[in-house]
Amino acid sequence: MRQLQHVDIAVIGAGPAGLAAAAAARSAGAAVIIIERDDRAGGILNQCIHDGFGLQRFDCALTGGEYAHIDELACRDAGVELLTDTYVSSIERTESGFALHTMTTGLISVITAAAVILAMGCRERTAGAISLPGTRPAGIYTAGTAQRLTNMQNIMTGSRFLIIGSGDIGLIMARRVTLEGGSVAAVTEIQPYPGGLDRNIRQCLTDFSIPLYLETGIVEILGTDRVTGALIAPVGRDGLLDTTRSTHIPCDTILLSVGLIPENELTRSLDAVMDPVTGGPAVDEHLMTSVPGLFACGNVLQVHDVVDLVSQEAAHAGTCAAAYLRGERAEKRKTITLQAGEGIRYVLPQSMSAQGSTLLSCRVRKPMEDVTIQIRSGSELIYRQQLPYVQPSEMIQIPLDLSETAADTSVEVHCVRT
Amino acid sequence: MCEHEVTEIMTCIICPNSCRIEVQYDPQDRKISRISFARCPKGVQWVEQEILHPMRTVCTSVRVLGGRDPLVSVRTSVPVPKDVIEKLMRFISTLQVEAPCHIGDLICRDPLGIEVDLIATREVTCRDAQFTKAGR
Ligand SMILES: Cc1cc2nc3c(=O)[nH]c(=O)nc-3n(C[C@H](O)[C@H](O)[C@H](O)COP(=O)(O)OP(=O)(O)OC[C@H]3O[C@@H](n4cnc5c(N)ncnc54)[C@H](O)[C@@H]3O)c2cc1C
Ligand code: SF4
Repeated sequence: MRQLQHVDIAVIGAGPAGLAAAAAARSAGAAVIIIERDDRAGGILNQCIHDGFGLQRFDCALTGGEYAHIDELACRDAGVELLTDTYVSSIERTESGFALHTMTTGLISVITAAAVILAMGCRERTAGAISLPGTRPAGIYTAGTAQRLTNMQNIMTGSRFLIIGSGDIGLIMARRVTLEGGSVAAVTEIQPYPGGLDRNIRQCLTDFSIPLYLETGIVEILGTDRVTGALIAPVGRDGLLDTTRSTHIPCDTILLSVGLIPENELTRSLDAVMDPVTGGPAVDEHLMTSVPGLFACGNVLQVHDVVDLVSQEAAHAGTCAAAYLRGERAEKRKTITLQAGEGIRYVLPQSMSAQGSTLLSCRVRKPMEDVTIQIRSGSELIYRQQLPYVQPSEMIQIPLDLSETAADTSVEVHCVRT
Repeated sequence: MCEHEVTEIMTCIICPNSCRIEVQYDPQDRKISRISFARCPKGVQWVEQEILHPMRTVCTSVRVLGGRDPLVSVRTSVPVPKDVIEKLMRFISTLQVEAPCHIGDLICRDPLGIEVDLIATREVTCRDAQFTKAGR
């Protein structure tokens, strides 16, 4: 059976990004529907039973579930329609906007919308994605899958763990399995610095005396039916693993926490311009992609480590999508491109209109002390801020106002030693 | 600076700003002589507490009977001293509650006698409610 429904704005994904975007668009007057494939709203937050969410927004440390619940209630109160158990399988452009093909157990329907906000989040990189050497016995999970099994389904994935990669999910899981009576032999990280936030290193590893081996990689995973251990080795001078110094770590379970990939199949199918560094679409200061009427926010746009910033970004996308529908778009002004300069890995948004203003996000390439973030337009310095310490795991956000800037320049962000 | 004093960089875990606070203290008598680089007073308080008597909010889950999920996530109502966490976790592993559970529900009153309750942090509806929804 095919059903047809029309809305002003369709939001794909009911994680914190989708919820905040929908609430903002609704309060700006648009008729909004959120489409979520899971059986409930909340996204990744449902499996995050630890606290530390909402410190900036609510000034208290909520758990993931508590944080999502606040936004879900706000959406319901505002009159946002929430469609769960529904998967958006494809999307296409139409004359009046977009058509979304959805699937709900046995039911295929089409939802048309004048504008779409992408909020599909990320998925985890897997063993295949990092070409893990050795056999493929049972007992290898991504950290997020293990988190879901442990926290939602009461399934403990093993008893003695090795965690590969020091991303936040891996760190949080190190504490989780320890609290549940398991033990963590070590966390290994190929980079010279940890991938996760310092606060998670402290409260998840240091608190439980779990060793973190930096510049260490996996030589081989051992075991035929089930993991029995792994050989790990430090990175040598030539940048390759020094197998002469390898150590055997006995364990029955390996968790991978080696990064997240924005889930952008739908975005690509619309031929939106992508940013190869963020893995998400390129956007302007309204968080609109190169496809008119298509907006993006949250982890599908850039991987976030702090949910408060996700909500803030998403609310902006919602407000801008509603303004787009009302036709409130600045007359076509010249576009300024924003570029990552020295020491900076990426800048978002990737472009903005001349005279516009934005909250710019960026990440540095490597940890550095005593730096200055400089924003240059041609040879002119338009912004500078000194920071005592920066690291790739922490996003830097800067309010940027280009109203005084000449229209025909490109803007570059640099991070240099002070 | 007296003989036993050490300087340690402690990353503040109160908020995601993760300030790298430098603290000078004597580990023997736990006397703090200097705290620098905290971006707000909460960080200073945190470092003092972290050295004198560290506390943590414990977040975990409890088995649920008759719910659409087998577990309800819970947390301690306030942070507890780090050294009681193990005892608390052992107690929690024996607990079982019945659905429904709502965010903020009292799951267990003061299990350790230190004025700390266990509070639900997830909505768990009854399994029956799930059937009605599916049959809708
Ligand atoms: C383990 C972990 C720990 C974290 N800890 C903290 C912390 O302590 N403090 C903090 O502030 N932040 C933390 N974060 C960061 C923050 O929680 C995330 O950045 C945030 O949840 C991202 O929100 P999102 O809405 O973009 O994505 P998600 O939460 O992933 O939501 C995306 C939603 O889209 C749905 N979806 C995807 N594709 C489709 C489709 N085709 N059709 C329908 N639905 C679809 C998914 O089912 C999902 O519900 C943590 C993140 C993780 C993973
Ligand atoms: S010192 Fe203040 S600002 Fe810095 S991390 Fe701690 S609570 Fe946050």
